[in-house]
Amino acid sequence: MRRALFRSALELQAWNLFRASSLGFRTFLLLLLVLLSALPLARAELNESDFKQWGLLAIQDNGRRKPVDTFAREAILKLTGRGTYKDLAGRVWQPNEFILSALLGEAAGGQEKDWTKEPLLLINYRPLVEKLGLDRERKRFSFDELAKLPELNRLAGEVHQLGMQKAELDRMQQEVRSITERMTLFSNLSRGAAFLIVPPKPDATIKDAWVIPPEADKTFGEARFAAATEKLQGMVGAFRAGDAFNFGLRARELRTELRQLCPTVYPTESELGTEYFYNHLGAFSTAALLYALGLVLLAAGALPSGIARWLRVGGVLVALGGLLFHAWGIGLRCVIAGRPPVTNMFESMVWVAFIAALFGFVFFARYRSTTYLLAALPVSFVTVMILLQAPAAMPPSIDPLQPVLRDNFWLTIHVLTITGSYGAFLLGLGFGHIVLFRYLRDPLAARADSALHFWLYRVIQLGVLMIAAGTILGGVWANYSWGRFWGWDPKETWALITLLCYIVALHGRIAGWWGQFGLAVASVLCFAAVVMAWYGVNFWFPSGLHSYGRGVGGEGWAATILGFDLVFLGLVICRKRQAERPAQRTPVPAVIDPAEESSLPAASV
Amino acid sequence: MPASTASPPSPAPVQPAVVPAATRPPAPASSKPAWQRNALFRFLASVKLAVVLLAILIVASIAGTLYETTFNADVARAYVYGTPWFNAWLVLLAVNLAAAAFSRWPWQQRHTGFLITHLGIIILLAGALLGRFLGIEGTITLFKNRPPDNQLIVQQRQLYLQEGGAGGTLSWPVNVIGRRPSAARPWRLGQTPAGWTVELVDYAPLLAADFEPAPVPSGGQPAVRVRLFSKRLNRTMESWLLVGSEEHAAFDLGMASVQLRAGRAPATPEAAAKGAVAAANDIDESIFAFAHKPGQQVAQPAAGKAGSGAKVRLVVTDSARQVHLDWRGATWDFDVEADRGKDQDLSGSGLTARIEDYWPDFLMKDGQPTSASNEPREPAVLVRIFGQLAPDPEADSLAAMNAPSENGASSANQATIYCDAASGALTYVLKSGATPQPVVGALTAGGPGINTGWADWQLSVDQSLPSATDYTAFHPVEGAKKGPEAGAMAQGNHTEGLRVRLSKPGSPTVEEWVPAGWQVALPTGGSSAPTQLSYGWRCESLPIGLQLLDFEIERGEGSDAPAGFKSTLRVIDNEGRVDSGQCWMNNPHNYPGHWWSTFTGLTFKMSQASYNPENPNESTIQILRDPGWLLKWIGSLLVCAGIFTLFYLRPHPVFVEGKAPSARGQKSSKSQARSSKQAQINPSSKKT
Repeated sequence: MRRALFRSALELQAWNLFRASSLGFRTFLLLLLVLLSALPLARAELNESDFKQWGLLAIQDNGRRKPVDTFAREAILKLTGRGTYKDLAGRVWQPNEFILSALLGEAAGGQEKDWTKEPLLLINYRPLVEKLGLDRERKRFSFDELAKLPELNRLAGEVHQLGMQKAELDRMQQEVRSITERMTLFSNLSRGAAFLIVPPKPDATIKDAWVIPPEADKTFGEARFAAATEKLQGMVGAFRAGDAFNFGLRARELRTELRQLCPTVYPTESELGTEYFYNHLGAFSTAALLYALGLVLLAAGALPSGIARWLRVGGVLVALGGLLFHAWGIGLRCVIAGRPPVTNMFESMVWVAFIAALFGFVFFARYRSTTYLLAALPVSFVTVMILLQAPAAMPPSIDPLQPVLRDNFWLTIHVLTITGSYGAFLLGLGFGHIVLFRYLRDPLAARADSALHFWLYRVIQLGVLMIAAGTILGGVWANYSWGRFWGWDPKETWALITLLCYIVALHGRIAGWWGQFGLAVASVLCFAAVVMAWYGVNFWFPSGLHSYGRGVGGEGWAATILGFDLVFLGLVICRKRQAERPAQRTPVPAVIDPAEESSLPAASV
Repeated sequence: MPASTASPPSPAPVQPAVVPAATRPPAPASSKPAWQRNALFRFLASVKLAVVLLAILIVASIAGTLYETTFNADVARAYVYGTPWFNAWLVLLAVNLAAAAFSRWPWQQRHTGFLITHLGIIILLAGALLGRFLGIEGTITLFKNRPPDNQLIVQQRQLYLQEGGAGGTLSWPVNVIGRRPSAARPWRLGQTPAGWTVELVDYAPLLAADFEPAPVPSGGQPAVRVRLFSKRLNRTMESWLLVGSEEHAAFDLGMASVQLRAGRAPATPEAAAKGAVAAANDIDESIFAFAHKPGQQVAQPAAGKAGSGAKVRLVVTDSARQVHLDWRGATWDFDVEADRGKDQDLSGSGLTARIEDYWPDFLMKDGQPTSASNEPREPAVLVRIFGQLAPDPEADSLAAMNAPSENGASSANQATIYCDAASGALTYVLKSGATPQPVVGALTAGGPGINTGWADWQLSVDQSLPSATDYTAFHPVEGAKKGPEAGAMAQGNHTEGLRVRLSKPGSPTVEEWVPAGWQVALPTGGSSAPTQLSYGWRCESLPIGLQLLDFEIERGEGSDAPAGFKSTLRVIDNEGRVDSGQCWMNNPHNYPGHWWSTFTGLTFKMSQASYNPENPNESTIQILRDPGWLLKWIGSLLVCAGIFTLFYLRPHPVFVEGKAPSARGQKSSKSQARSSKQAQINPSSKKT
């Protein structure tokens, strides 16, 4: 009763204060109230941030020691193909809570949760779904549904046999292997076999395999492991009780205990913390967002208006912020992995998008044309978005390096240069589209804009230099490492083809077969070779010595985009011809130094 | 007009030359020497030729990668990269580059980048050609504790021939990718010292080896060709049996077996039963079972003892390892940990089972089973079953029939054919699970079959040879993948092979298949020793010998997957110098190791190529000697430097937003840049 009185008195006071305050302060108070009411006072459920200490435990998985947080993200992504899971009851599960709940068979707060009935497991290939006699409209199935299929069992046996013989698998077999791996992972999660969170023995080296807590007694002795067991039980108990405070506390204590068991191999607080921070920073999505925002501002600034200049300045600054986030993400990844991040498709796409944006800014700084940013921002944005939309095809996990790629300075330089050239060509693609779009709108005006063509030419030049240097460095490195300079491996051949395509584009202009417009067309067309060398070889040519960064899928998208681009090119070419018809049909020549043809920038008259 | 081009062009660099390069008339005759005006030279130096050459190079390379991914690297090499026209194309490109460079003669400072680039490419191509024709590339497989080896295996097929009488070995390179010999168009390889003409008359991507005993006048062993036919299953099985042959003395169907012995069958069923039952009831068998391959147990009866016909299954879960033993419808379960090494009575059977050993990661190493790790990757168990079987005439023959035992000696169903070496008479003893008494009878080759009593299988003998010897016949596998693409593939027991014909006037012509990796003897004339033919990789003798001192496998973090391999080598050259070193991934060992040798490529570079997961004492080393290495290096450097000079160090007009085009290096003014930004972004609106 007293409490109620006290409370109403408080409310009365608050109300008086509210009435007395100015309009601005009132709005502020209202907002504060809304925010405060969103914070529940007592919770039966734990929210994502309560799992931080649990997520900071170290686990050994896939050849690396990593925070449980990373493991949980990779696990849920691998199982479902998505970053979170929405269950049948409509509840969205975050990775950390999901794996703990899958292990215990309970949700936080202690209610039962039968994960074997949840349609978690992704089959991303409809012919397989049909072959298994499942509902063809669904992509995700529960463990129980799949476990009772004799056909899947039979196919898995076949694929296992083929795997033992190291035979090549077709798409169906690859998908069967994927679903088998998902089922194994799920069963390892629910049986606890995946939770290798204890270093194996007091004098372990980093090569030794970690163990699950029930097995740790054997190596450490019960007495020595008792403290850790107690913390572990405390943590699980707090989770069951929905007690966020003690859950976090016990998890942190458990981590301290485990580290004490074997301090030499247990990751340090800062290592775990850095990776946790990277996981939750969302550097690349933030970068993409800022690129998009910057692009909108710059585009708005291109239209005549009173604030156009300020819009442009704002756009440049926002985009620069995006670039910084992008660099931050890449830097953190380098720190976590201890190597440059260009060894799988995810990392190379991030890197190429970054290089495209970076070169856009460098060229902008040199030639002061915002066209560079208008070209760089959309391609970087689209590249990062493709990446973030297809986590199953290009998993963002940080994996240990293939032996062939370890510890090599020249290799690092070679890969960074080659992918850097992809970035330059990507910028060229964006710039080429802007130029062609201008031709579409007004061919004659576009033709007369020498500066525009010169700027595009500079981008192509940079790309050509980098891909030539990168390909040759690759040869030097291959000679050193594999014993031969050039072996016509698909990857190196396609790098050469890409180089030759752009060189043909440059020399064809010198030969007078096409002019500056032809170069703009080439900057778009030749990018198909880059796509082939980069994505095509990785995804379609499984053989070869460069067989890392593999994946499947995406052919449809690539073909569709290429198709649209070809239609666009056709339209532009038609439009240009139409516009030139009344005038002379002679091509507009480049400015040529009489004694010297090669490499002159286009400056039309 | 954009602000930039509206202003008057700056003087020197932006000359309004309006004629495209290629259509430009030649410079005045007075300034050009005669050779530069030559039509052929102008064609060779033209940039149009360069574009055409490059374009075709692009198309060819794309075709090459498609060949590589559809077939394999060898096919791509044979059809594209290794062909004479591809190399000629590269030489033509080099000529074009050189001619283009000389067409600028006399050279001026502004040509620097262009010349460096072109020179670099020419040097690079020259280095590649030099390496290709003078270089050495091959592999040596080394074993620990073996004497030095200097025989380099080169990836090229070769036919070897050695005549019985005359000493030397002849050899010819054979390349069947892309074209093949045929009977209509044989390839003549050459003539032997004894006057035999060697020809290739066919090539098969896949040859099957068939055991086919050949009759000999004396000193052979009896052989019969048996046929088993089941109407119900619509299936026929045929096989040769040869007494004394290791692999072909018996024929195992799974549910029954047929074996051949010399001599005569026992005269009466009783005598046969006694012998057979006594033998069949004395059981001692070792069975390997694998958790990941249920149904693939490997069973081996002890010498002179019979198998039990039991099935052993190993089930490994995280918490337990269980062995299930099925025998004649009954099942016994054992726990690997608890029951290991203990005798377990199989109640009612008179047999005893014992779990002898367990391996979590089974691996045969030096002929001994071991465990590669403690991870349960390939769990295997060894169970021994032994004892005296109580005679059991009611044994469930149907069960035995339906559950094919893989142990090679099913005790219930067995036919033994006896062939008398002197008379060739065939007799048999037939034992079937369905009838308690063995049946004794006589057979004739080509005659009617006998009903075995094993389901509806009929047993007959097609052919019998009282005296025969071991012989393997080869024939191409029908329906095998046609075409050259299958050339380098070998599947299972099948291998590619050549059909070789030896002919000599006055002697009968002989023809035989020679499969890769086999040695085949051809009888060439009477009493002299036969001619030996073999088909395999080309071997080259190196002036250095290699010994494997040590081989290490490095494992990845927390796993047993190999992450790296390291070989420690000793190199001995023919002048007695000894050197040792290590090579591992990305770290080759060079001999001789002086810096000038490695720098010029005049060294033997040894890289870790592959290893044998089943033999830790074996390592394959790749050896490379590339005299073109220095040229490749210099060429690479020049190309990069040249392109850089071309693009960044030459004077050229520069367009900076809001500024008139200027020569490179001039500073732009900020105020101008700002003022025209608007115009630049919106080109259509800036036309004023």
